[in-house]
Amino acid sequence: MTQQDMLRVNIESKVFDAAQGAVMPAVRGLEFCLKENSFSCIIGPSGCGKTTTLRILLGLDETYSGTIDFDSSKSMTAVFQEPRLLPWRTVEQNVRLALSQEGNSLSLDALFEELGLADVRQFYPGELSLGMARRAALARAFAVLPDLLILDEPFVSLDDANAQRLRSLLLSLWQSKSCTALMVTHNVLEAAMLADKIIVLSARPATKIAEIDLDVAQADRDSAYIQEISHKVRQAGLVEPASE
Amino acid sequence: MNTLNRTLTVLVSLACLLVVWWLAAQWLNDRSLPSPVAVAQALLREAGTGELFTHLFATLLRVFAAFLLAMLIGSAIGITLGLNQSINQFVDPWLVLLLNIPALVIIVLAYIWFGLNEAAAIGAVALNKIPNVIVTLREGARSLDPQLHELSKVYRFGFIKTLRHVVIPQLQPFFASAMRSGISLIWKIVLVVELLGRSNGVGFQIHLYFQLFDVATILAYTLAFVFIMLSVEYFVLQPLEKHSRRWRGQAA
Repeated sequence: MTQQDMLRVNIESKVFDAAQGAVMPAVRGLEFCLKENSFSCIIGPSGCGKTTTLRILLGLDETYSGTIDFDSSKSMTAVFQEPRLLPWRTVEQNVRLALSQEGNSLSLDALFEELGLADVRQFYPGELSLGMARRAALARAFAVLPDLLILDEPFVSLDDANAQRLRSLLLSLWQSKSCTALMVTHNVLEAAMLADKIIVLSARPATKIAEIDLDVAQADRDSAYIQEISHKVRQAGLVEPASE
Repeated sequence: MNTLNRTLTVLVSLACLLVVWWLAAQWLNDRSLPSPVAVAQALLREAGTGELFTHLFATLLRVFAAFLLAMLIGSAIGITLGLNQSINQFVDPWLVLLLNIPALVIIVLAYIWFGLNEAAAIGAVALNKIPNVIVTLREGARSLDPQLHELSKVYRFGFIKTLRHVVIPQLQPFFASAMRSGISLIWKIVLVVELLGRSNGVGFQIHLYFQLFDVATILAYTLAFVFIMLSVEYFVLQPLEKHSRRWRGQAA
């Protein structure tokens, strides 16, 4: 079976203008491909340019040099660091807004059920806990059946138990909806649990320092395997933040 | 219980005002301060002939037209200025100038330049209100959340969907503020416009009875119109605002 590339990224350079005409390089020579239906994680130290890279992929930042190869007839959605729900729309209305009229939407009932949102679909975001709001953001991203799903640290600032529950939800949704996922994180264990491939970035300006392929299916990974992979990632030269 | 208490307080307060007015009128015993009874009689007389309703209606139409015009033009300009720094820098001095021109000057100039007609009257009132709307909505446009803008881009909401579901709800408090201050300012200016150059409306009637020194009828028209404007505020604007804010309030 041959797998096609869903996304090919080659960011030669991205700089931000700093004070007094100086420039601050954010990304330099970052190149990677995503295979169709794969789950990749980008991992790197805080502030290294991960979010900047995602913004470029999402088309939110066009001031860079390089090429992003993505078939524009395919759909792309995102889960941001914050849930970014519209506070004046209920959970269900938020999800429905993402659906285009002609789009092939899956049954919302089943999706809400799967994500444990069935009881809160008529709630406004202000009435939800952070964990619930993040579930709603996931529901919105999956409702449109995206070809490519981009996640920017979607489980940050959740407690461990909640984050763990959402990780397995994400995994089962990704498996059942067959989409390509790209997730940014700075949690090594999270990456080792979820990804088929881990792309390790250097400190700013971000560049790829390693690409690690994971050959065991997500469901079959035990803690020894996850430890082994995180060891590999750290050996590759990941600079971790002093405290989490 | 709480709302009942509040309503009761308002009623008692208004009753006290009425009593003070009545006592003052009794004590003065002069045409310049008619008693509440005389005002009520004048009100009934004007209502009986139908004059009251004709003039109230004419004024209301002008208020409504000027309000609509000011909100539409003011919002469009305000949002544009809020989103575009260079246009804003260019237009801002005009705005400051316009904000400081007395309403009366704008009205007189409008009548001189465009004639004593309805368009000049309504245009002059709207022009008095437009700068306020611009300033308020400009503030609103500046406070639009860039994160939500990105959301609508990533999810390809398109222009209409973004405007309707992302932009306008964020501007809602600014619309509400512009509307509430707008309606009270506009109806006061409409009376001046009518007094200076129209042949009907509450302002025209007040001018007429001023010349006849009939204070009771002046007060009758004033109170009738205040009552209508308060009704608009209470039964139209406030429910509208409450409806559009229904998602707040219930935060967990």
